[in-house]
Amino acid sequence: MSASIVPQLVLKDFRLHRSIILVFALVVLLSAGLVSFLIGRIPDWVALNLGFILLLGPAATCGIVLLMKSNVFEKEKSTQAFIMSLPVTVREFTKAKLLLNLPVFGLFWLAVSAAGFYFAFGRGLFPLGAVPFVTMVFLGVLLSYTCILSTSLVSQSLGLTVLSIALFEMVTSAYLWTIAYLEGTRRYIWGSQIVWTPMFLAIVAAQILAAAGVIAITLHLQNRKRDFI
Amino acid sequence: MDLPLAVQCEGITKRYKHFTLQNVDLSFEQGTVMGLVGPNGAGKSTIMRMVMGLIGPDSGSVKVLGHAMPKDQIAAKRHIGFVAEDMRLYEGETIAFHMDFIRSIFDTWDGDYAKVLLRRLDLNENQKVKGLSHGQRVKATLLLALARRPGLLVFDEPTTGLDPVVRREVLDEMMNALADETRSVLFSSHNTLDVEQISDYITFIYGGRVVESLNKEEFIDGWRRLRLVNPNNAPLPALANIRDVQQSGQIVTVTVTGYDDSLPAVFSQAGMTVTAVERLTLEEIFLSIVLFAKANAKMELAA
Amino acid sequence: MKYGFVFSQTDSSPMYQQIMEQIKQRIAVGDWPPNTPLPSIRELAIEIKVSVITVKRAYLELEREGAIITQQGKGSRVNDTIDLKVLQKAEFLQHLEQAGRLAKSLDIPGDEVWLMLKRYME
Repeated sequence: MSASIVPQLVLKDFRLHRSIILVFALVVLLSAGLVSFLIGRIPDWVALNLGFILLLGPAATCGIVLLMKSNVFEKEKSTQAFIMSLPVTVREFTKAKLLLNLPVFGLFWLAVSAAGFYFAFGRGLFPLGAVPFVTMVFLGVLLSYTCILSTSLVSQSLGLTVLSIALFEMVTSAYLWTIAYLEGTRRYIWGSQIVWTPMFLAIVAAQILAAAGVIAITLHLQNRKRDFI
Repeated sequence: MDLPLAVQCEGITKRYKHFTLQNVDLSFEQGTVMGLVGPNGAGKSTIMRMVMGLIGPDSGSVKVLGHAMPKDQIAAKRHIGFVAEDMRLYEGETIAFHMDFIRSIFDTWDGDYAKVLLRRLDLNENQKVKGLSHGQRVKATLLLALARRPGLLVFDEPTTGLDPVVRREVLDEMMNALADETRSVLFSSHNTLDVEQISDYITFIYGGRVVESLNKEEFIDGWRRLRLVNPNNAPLPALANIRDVQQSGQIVTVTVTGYDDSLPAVFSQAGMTVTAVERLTLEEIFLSIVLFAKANAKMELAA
Repeated sequence: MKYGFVFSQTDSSPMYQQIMEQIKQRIAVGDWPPNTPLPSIRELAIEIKVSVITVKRAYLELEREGAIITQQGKGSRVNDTIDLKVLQKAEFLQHLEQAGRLAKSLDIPGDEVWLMLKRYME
């Protein structure tokens, strides 16, 4: 008998939610096609905003829907008692949820980021000087998602999860304004050179570390829980 | 025999805002059935969840099949089948989906037995959980718990809300699972008939405490109702084991615990005629215990 | 149902006594002749969906009455030196006991009970 049933739990959740994942993947593909078709046919700034909404929108929604369905609803619909009656601990349960949600959102995020970079720089919507800025934007989205995921895993509460979505959406907007008005951004964004100022590097590093830290804290908190259900 | 006890709870205590489980001891050996009886909110589910490792006690220890809970819950839960009244399966999926899932986890899964259970419990594996009645859902979770052939079955209110036919089916399958001599059952119910029929041991829970925990035969045997005629209105003998007295004119009805055959003589000597000595059903005993505990609690408050 | 035991929920006697009665009846009518092996306690318990401890008690009481013999490791069988009359007499005494108690509670004097009984014996 295998020692851990985490793989079976991840597979089970994937089977439960694969149709949703598939639908959102199709939406992202269609959006990418649409944006690609529109570039050059509409003003660049319209294409930029449209691309941001059409690509990031469905990817983020998929991430949120998946964490709601796989985690918050597990508790709401009392299927959690069924899962916890199996040979698992809270920590393993959480691990399985992370191993489903992070890779799925991660893939969407990578695909959307890749498409974003391609449209921004491959199709000439932005000059190369904007590379650090766009990088920081996408990393901000990833960190924001990680925080929401962590909130939903630790609290398993519909209310708190919705609150965290609203909160981190606001924080992300504020963050976007902040990095847009950074001294380095204003100086280099319209240039044709990619310049990584120490500030840019610090922000990127901080974001990656923070995302990893949030996941570590989540596992730690879940490990300490004595009452689950 | 060196088998560890099926369940061994020692002095478990758990505090909640409006409820405290106090110093609960609960043990029984493998191969036996333990029935937990108590009114709603007495703490039955809390105890069961501690046995499953889902809740950790504030103090005291829980061991299941020799494994310390909740620390060794992974090892313990490999051998436990859990069915709870408030446990749900995935609405959008079929029974077969759940069977596949459980089979992927337990190499003890017995596919033939699962087929037999599907037939005996009248279930269609291709039906979605969404379309199942309450009884069918309970039977489906029962099937998932039984077909992996666990050493310990933990059933929290398995027969609540079931019609008599389904209740019969569920109890029958619980009993059938006991054909293996080391298999044990811990189950709770407020249906005293179920408990009376299939339990070897009975534990009464009231207000977060264990009121009694005994071998069922001794337990039920100890309770009697004496019907007396008291023509001279003599005072009742002061016995510590009297649990209830109803008096109307010369007719007196006394409920006692710890009965033995010398008791009627005590009442005769006090000048009363014993007209009948009756046994009590578990339901009557249950009510008597709860009423007595309530009266005591009131007296404590008044004091 | 292999052994065809049927129990009554309205019968006021406890389950272990009902099991004893049904076994004794099978012995008394000759369906289970002397030396017939009885089902194991667990087997019967599962068959009739009654707790093991209740069946165990019924077997213990039957052994005490001499209706069955239990040997460690070999299970139980119907006593081969069983005197059917003794078994039936025990049952008769039980009925008498009940009748006597009832008579007492109804304040029927002993000689009157004797007259009533005599009527049935003629």
